[in-house]
Amino acid sequence: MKAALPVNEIIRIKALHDLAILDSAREQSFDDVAQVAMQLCDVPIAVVSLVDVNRQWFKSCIGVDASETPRDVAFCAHAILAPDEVLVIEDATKDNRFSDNDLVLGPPHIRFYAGAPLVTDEGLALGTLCVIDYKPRQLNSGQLDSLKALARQVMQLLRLKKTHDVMQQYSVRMQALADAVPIFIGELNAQQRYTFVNKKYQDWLGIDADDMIDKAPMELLAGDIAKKITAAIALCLQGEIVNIEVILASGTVLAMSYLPRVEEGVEGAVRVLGVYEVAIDITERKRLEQMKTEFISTLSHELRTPLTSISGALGLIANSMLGTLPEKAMTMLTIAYKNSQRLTMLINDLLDMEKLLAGKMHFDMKFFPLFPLVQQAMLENKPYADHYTVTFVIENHIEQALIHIDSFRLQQILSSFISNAAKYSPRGGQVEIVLTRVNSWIRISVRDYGAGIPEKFKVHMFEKFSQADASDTRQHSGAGLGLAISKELVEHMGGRIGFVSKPIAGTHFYAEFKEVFI
Amino acid sequence: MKQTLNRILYIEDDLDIQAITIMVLQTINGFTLEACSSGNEALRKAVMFKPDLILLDVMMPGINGPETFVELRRLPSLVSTPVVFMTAKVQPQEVEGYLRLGAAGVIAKPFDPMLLADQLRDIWAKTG
Repeated sequence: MKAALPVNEIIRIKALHDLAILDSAREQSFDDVAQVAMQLCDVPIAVVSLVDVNRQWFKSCIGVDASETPRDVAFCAHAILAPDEVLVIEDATKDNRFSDNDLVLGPPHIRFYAGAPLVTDEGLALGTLCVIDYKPRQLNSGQLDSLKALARQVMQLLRLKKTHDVMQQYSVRMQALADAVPIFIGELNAQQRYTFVNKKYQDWLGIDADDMIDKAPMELLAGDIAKKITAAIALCLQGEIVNIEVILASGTVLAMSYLPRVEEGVEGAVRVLGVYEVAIDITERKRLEQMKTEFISTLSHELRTPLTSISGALGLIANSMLGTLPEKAMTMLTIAYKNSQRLTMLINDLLDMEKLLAGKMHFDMKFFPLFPLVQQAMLENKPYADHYTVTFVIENHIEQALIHIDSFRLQQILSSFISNAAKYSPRGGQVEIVLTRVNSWIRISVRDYGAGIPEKFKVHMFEKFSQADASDTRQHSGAGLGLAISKELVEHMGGRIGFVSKPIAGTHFYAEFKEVFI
Repeated sequence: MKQTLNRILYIEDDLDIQAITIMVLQTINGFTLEACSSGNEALRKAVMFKPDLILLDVMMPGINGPETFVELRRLPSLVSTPVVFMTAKVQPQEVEGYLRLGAAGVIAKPFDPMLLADQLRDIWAKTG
């Protein structure tokens, strides 16, 4: 008699297919369980059977050579109808459901069958662990309990296999991903030995993963590079993110990052288990940076050369060294001369900005008494005072103070402050250069009594090419690089920069440096 | 007492800049100037001219400024003549390079025509 379908047949079949077990290879672990069941029940056949749509498929089959049968003749198709019970058929010839079964009438001439359902956590019976005999018989309660216990073990094996398969697939996907990305990826344990390397890494070293795993960088890499990498790993194992650059013998430049692999323990305690190593080939980027630097250097030279002739010639005429010109012509020439000087300053600013951003500006840091430097800055910017008809005043509230700076760069910063203050002061106004102590810092403020900075522009004050009035008809000239450069310079020298601005009350820009004592 | 700066050997391949510099140094400030358009020309004229100071461009076709400097230094009569580079190549490391080579000073282009003579006199005064 053909078995009825379980009420939950659709989701049962789905659960079975989700296990991806059907038609898989034989496995010792399942055979072992079947073998134990066979011996416990003292029968010649034991089977791990899974009931599919039209067949029962055997994950394990001990004692008879078969891999599947049609579902119509499957004893197990009956057993799964009662997931909580073991179906016991003591003599199939005397049971209406099986007396006409092909497996009873013909080979293997089944007489006895006991099947313990394989039940999921959701209560779905996917198949059975069953024992079979060629002659009628019975099982004692101990054997029945053991069969049920073994069925639970089979189910556990199925779950583990599923988890293992998912992990395996995930691992394959991760490996494929790690191999596909154009970066070097490695993982090292706390003993500084590789536990993982991606394909790109293996290709770089020309070593297979099998020969890299459990090796230290010192065993695989050339001397200096290995030392540098080993030092970075050691630092990273202390919990720090470490970035280094290495240049290989081939000229390839790698930017390498080391990130601690941590485990959070009790009460937030963190333990470093190992190190993730990520490296990017930056050879091309470096080459482009070098090209850019050379381009800017060349461009600067090429721009300055004609500018030398223009400003030189105009300077001589505008200063009446070659005789006097009609007033109107002189006005025009003076405009041309001033603008040639502006162009020179703009080129200088662009070069400075480029160097600062590339981290290539050299700072000649020395200890200097501050006051003489401020006096010098005031003198050097005297032409601005004359031009904008303002007066410079120094208020020294600190007497003497020593700071650690590059004096040339400090002059550049102060010139930017002072020239701006002059530019934005009312005619006949006063620009105050004030020296004060703010805790352990020395503050140099430059104050004007101009219109103040518009509120909405304040956040852009230190950005490149920023001018409060950027219109074509703006009153004040400049490229808008002075303050951006000043900020970079101050911060590179360990100082702080800022400003305070109020409408009508004017603006003061300040730079602060730590006072030093020798 | 040290004599006054008078004779300047000037090497510059850009003829416009050369014309302005001649105007500034010779016409306006009265120096005796021997202007050359290349390092080789300077090497031919230097010994005969007997300069007090040499004003030298850096970027020039043929032999450049620093190479010219080295060659000039090989001439026994010019072993200690002060050399000033006047150039647009004035990145800090470039300036450092000229000074390391033995230059007495560096003047950046574009130069201020009103200050150039005084700048040269200052450098001259500081040299032994």
